[in-house]
Amino acid sequence: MAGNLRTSFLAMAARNLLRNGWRSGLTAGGIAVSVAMMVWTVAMMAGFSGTMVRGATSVELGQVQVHRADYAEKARPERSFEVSAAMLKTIEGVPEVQAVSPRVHLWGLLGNERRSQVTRLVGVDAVREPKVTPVAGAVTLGAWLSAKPSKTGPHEVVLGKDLARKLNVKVGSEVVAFLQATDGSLGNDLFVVRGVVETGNQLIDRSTAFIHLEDARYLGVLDGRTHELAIKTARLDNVNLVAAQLTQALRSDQHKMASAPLKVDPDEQDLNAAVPLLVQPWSELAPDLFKMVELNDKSTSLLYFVIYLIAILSIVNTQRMSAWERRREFGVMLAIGLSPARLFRLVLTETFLLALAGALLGAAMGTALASWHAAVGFDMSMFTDGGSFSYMGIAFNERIFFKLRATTILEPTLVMLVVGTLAGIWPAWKAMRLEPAATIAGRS
Amino acid sequence: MSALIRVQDVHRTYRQGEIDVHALRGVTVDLDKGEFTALAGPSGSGKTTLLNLIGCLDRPTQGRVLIEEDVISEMTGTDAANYRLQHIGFVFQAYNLIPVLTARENAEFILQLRGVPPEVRKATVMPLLERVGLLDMSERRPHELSGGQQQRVAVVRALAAKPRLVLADEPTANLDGETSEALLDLMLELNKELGVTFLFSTHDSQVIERCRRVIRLRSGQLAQPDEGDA
Repeated sequence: MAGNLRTSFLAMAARNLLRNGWRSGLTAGGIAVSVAMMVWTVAMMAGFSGTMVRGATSVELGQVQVHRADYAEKARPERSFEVSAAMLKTIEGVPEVQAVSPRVHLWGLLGNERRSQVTRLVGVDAVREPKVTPVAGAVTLGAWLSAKPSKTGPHEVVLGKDLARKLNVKVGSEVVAFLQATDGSLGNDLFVVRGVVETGNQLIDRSTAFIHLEDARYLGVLDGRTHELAIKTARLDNVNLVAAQLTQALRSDQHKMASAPLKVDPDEQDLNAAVPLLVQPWSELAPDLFKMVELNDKSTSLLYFVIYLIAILSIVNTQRMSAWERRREFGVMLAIGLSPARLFRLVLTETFLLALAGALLGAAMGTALASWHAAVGFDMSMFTDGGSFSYMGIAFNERIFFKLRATTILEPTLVMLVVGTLAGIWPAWKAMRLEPAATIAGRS
Repeated sequence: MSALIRVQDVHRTYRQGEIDVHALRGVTVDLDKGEFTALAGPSGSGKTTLLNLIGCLDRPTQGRVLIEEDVISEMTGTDAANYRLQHIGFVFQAYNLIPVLTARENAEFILQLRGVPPEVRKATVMPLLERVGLLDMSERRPHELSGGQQQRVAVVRALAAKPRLVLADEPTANLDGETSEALLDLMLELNKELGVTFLFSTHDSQVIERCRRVIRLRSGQLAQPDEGDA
C-alpha cells in the first residue's frame, strides 16, 4: 500500500512538473547543460592528464621503475644491481607488464676536438628499449642502435636532436665520451653517431646520448650491472597495483641483488651492502607531474562548485516559485489530511524528478560530445599558434583525446542528482510549514 | 442523540499588525450525530473561524473543542492532519480539487492517503460519482469540469472515506441557484442515507432554509439559536 502511494506520488510529482512544462523544461535544460559541461570537462581533464602522464612516462620514465633503494635517494653510478634473465622473466610475468628494459645511467663529457657537452649517457638494450619507450621511432636522422653491439666495429651512439646540433655532428661523425667510472678511473671511448632522435622531451633532445648497454657497463666499469629497470604497463590507472605486485615478485630470494661485489673505491665498500630494490610507480618518480595531475583533478571540484551553484539556484528558484504558486493547493491537501511530512516528500520528489530528467539528459549530451572528442580528439590548435605544443616539458599533439570512463559520466550525474534534490529542501520545507486555514483563506 | 461535537467557551484572537482581532468570543455549542446544520451570519461574524476550529485546522486562543472524547483543539501538526484524514471531510467554497488529478483520483485521494488498495478505492468512489452524475467524467481533470461538477467531486471526495463529520465552507457560494439546489439535495440525501453529520458555514438563505438547524453568529458570538425544519 505504501508502494501504491509512492507510485502515485511519483505520478503526481511528474504531472505537477508538466503543468508548467516551459519552466520545468528550462530548468531541466539548465541542469542538463551543467551536467553535460561537467562530463565533457572531466573527460577533457582526464584526457589531458592522461596525455601528459603518458607523454612523460612513455618517452622517458616508463610507468614503473626499479632501482636500488639508495640509488632512488641519490643516483650515484656505483649504486647498481645485477639483473638476471630470471628476474626479467619474473617481471614480465606480472599481469599488466608489457615490457621491461634495463638501463645504465652515466654522466660525462661527450664531444670532439672542437666541441664538447655535458651529456647523459644512457645504456640501453637496443631491442628491449623500443618496447618500453617510443625512442626508436623518434629517430629523425640515421637509425636506432643495432640489435647487438658490434664486437669489432665502432661503438654506436644515438644523440638527442639538440645535442647533435650543439656538438655540430651528423650521422657517421665520431665523438668521444669521457667520464669517471665507478672504480674511480677515467673511462673513455670512441663512438660513431648512428642516429638522431627528436622526442619532444627536453632532457632527451638536449642532453641525452643512447649507447648499447654493454658499452655503458664497460665504460662505467659496472661489471654487467644495471642502474634501472624501466617497465611499461598496459594501463596508467592501475600502476600502483602493478608496482605493488612487482615489489612482491622481486622479494623472493633468487632476485636478491648484489650477488657479486662491485670493484669500487675502498672508501665506498658499503655500496656493496645488500640494499633492497625499490619499485616506484611514475607518481613517485615524477612527483611534480603527479602534483600537476592532482591539481587538475582538484580543479574539477571548483568547476563543480561554480557550474552546479548556478544550476542549483535555478532549481531553488523554480521550485520555490512553483511551491508559492500552489500554496493554496498545498493548503487544501494539508486540510484534507495530507501530513506535512508527506507534502515535504511530494515537493522533494518533484525536485528529484526535475534533477533526474536534467541529469540524465545532460549525461547523454555530455557523453555523446566527450565520446566524439575521445574518438577524433579535440583540436587545440585554436589555442596555440598551430601544430604541437608543450607543457611542463612534455610535447602534446594539437589534438587532445578525451578519456571517458564510467566514473566520468556517473560522478557529475550523481552529484547533480544529490545536490539538485537537496536544493528542493527549502521549498519543500516552506510548503510543509504552511498553515492550511490561513493558506486556503488567502492569508499567507 | 449524543453530542458529536462540543465547543466549549471558545475564543479565537488573531493579531493583525498592532491590532488584536477577536474572531470568536466565548462560543459554546454542541452538535449531535447526523445533524445537517448551517452556521449562519454576516461576513466577519466568525463562521469560517469556528468551522476551522471544529475541523482541526486551527486552535482556539481559549476554550476547548471535542469530537466525541477527542480534544481536537489541542492537536497540532501531524496529529491534527491524521485526525482530519481519519474523521473529517471538507468541502471548500472554491472547489479546491487537485488540478493534476482526474475527478476519480481526486475523489480517491483521501482513501489513498489512508492506504486503501486501488481496487477498493475505485469500488468505493465510482458508485458515488455515478450518484452525483459524473461517472462519464471520472477521468476528466478539474479544468475540464464546470464549477458545479467540481463541487460535486469535492463532495464525493469528502464523503468517500466515510468521515464522522463533513464541514463545508460556503459550498454554494460560487454556484448558480439551480446547481446549488441540486448539490444541497445530494448532500441531504447522503446525510440521510449515510448518517454523516454536516455543518455548513453560509449566508445563503437557500442553504439556511434547507438545514434542520441554524446556528447564528454575530461579531464572534452566538446570536440566537434557530431550529429549522428542512
